[in-house]
Amino acid sequence: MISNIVDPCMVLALLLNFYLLGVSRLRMLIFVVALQGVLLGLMYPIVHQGFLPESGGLTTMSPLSLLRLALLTAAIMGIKGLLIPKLLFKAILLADIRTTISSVIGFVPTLLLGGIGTGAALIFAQSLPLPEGHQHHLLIPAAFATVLAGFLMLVTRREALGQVLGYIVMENGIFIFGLLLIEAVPLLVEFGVVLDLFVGVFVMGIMVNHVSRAFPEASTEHLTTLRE
Amino acid sequence: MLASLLILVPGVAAAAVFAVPSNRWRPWVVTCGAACHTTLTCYAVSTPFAPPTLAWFHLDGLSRYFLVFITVFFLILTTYLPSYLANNEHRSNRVLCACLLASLAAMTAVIVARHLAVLWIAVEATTLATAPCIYFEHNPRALEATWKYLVLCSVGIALALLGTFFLAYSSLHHGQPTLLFDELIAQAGELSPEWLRLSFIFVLVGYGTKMGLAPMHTWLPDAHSESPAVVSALLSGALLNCAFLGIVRVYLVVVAAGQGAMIQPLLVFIGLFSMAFAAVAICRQRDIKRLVAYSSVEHMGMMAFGLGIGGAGVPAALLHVMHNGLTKGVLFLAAGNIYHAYGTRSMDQMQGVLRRVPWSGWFFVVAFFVITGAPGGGPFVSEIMLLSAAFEHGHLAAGCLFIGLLFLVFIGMGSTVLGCALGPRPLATSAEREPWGETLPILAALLLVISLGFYTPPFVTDWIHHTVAAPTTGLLVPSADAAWGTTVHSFTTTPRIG
Repeated sequence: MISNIVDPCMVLALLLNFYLLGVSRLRMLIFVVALQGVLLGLMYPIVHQGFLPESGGLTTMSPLSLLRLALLTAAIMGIKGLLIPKLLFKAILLADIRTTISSVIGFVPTLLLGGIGTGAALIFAQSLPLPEGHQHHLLIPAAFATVLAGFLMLVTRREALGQVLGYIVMENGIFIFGLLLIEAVPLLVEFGVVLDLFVGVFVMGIMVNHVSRAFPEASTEHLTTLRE
Repeated sequence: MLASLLILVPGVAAAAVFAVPSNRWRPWVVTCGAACHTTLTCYAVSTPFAPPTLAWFHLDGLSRYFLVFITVFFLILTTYLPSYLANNEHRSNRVLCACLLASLAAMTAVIVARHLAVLWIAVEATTLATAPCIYFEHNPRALEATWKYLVLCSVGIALALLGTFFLAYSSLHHGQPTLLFDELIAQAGELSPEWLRLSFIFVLVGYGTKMGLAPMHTWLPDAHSESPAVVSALLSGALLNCAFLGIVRVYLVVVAAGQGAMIQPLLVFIGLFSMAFAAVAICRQRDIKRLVAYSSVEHMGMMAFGLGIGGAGVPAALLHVMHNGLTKGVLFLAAGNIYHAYGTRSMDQMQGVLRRVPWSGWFFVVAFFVITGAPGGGPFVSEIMLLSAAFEHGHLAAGCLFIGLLFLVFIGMGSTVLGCALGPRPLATSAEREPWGETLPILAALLLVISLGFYTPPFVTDWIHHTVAAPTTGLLVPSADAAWGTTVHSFTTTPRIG
């Protein structure tokens, strides 16, 4: 039942990963990362409904906890979908950096690696012992593939902002995995994680600003003075 | 309740410091904040052990031990701070002072956390709180160091979060998933071994990045060398240890689940690899702060090695946390004074340090002997404990390699340090005036670490054993003796790595 909604969403998240790996326009990248964040934020109440059959899901929740769930979900989506993108757009404006980013190994090889990674994630997830009810949906492979895609962006992008975006995508992947653990990782804790992400991006944004003032185009290739 | 208060006090103090308008008084407010934290900690650790009342925070033995060490260490650092910042009056220290206290709050949260995801949030918060401190000098080199630190540590510990989630997932197989580590230890036998091992590897790589284990250590020498002396000391003495605590927490769960034999060779390998990497780097290092930074990598490797040995190696590694931390404080603060006098960090251009800055020079030389394991210092005690544990548990080759690497570091560090410490004072210079504010705190730390070489307070050992004894030596009780036997057996029969 749950797979009916979750799996298409996961496929969408995976498609967004591929799009992110192949695109060079910074504004588009930020927009897509935000979209992925909102999509995952929306997943939280949906999964909450499906994975807690004994508690009856949302229908039997007290109004207070329902309100809490709604508020926290809105906050997470707000941070991922509004605050962080706004911050990054502002960083582009302030730092006056190039609006396209480049890849160390080129976009096609990155995409290829992303494809291989997604396939490997699907196979790897099959080989792991999964508890009853988790075997057939895409959450676990999607989590692995998204973490991998974020990591790929992080290591192949030359510009500081491209790396920050890679970090956010990685966190999105971890968030997907967190969806499976609603009892162990309460939404408030998840909110703490997202808040950390936000502050992290904020501090990184400030640093990007400084990098761009010190070096042209905010490319981290200039950051190679410190050696052994 | 007390645990939350311990986090709140430095947090509020950080906000207060931010509001103080005077550049000159701000460091003193930091000292006051640290003193309040120390007082509260003394009260908190004197309360008897109680079952956890809060869902996310709790003061167990391990947190008491780390808390006492961190608060004393931080207090020593902040007594050095006013005098140090007096040399940098042209630059606003508002952000630095506030972030120092914020990082104390975050570190306290790491230490008292009972929920592993909360622990993760706090570790990430320490990264974010200390990053602006590293950028204090506002030059391109500091910028590069900060960027590397921020990106590498954030990404590293993102992997640790994934590892933490895997741990929760391993508990999902038999009922309710949980991330409270007392619960995880209690139901360790039911955790899914595959997910547990996967979890530990991710946590080790993740927190290992933050802890500075080779080969994930690349941010460490840069961040330590480019930041102000106080911040380097804080990073090396306190922050790395907080990441280590994260690894210890998960390690205890894995060992309690009987999976120790699977992960211990990995820890021994990564520990010895870090030591070897650091030893090589130390031998060719001419920058005084990078030299000490690589020594940090070496000692973090020793702690990982201790966990890898298991049994008596675990308390030894934990004791080494305090001994190494305090000595690193002495080394970095003294190096800061020396740097200030000479205006360069290159040890090729330093001569006659003992004559030019006698106090700091002597502190540095004595601390060099202490950190390289000379008898009479704290590190000597914990290193001997580590070694005897290694030999006791049959790690002959690893133990011998450990000794060899200690020698290599001693020779490498000694030739550089003694070379610039001795010799005549450079011509046309006089002995520098060394204010009390910059020497007394270092002396205090040095005396503390030397006295720890002769006497370990019984409460420290009690606290360490209180938490560690249950899962690690639990394997020694007759019913689980077989499990312990296989652990030792697998070490002696399988070809050992490293």
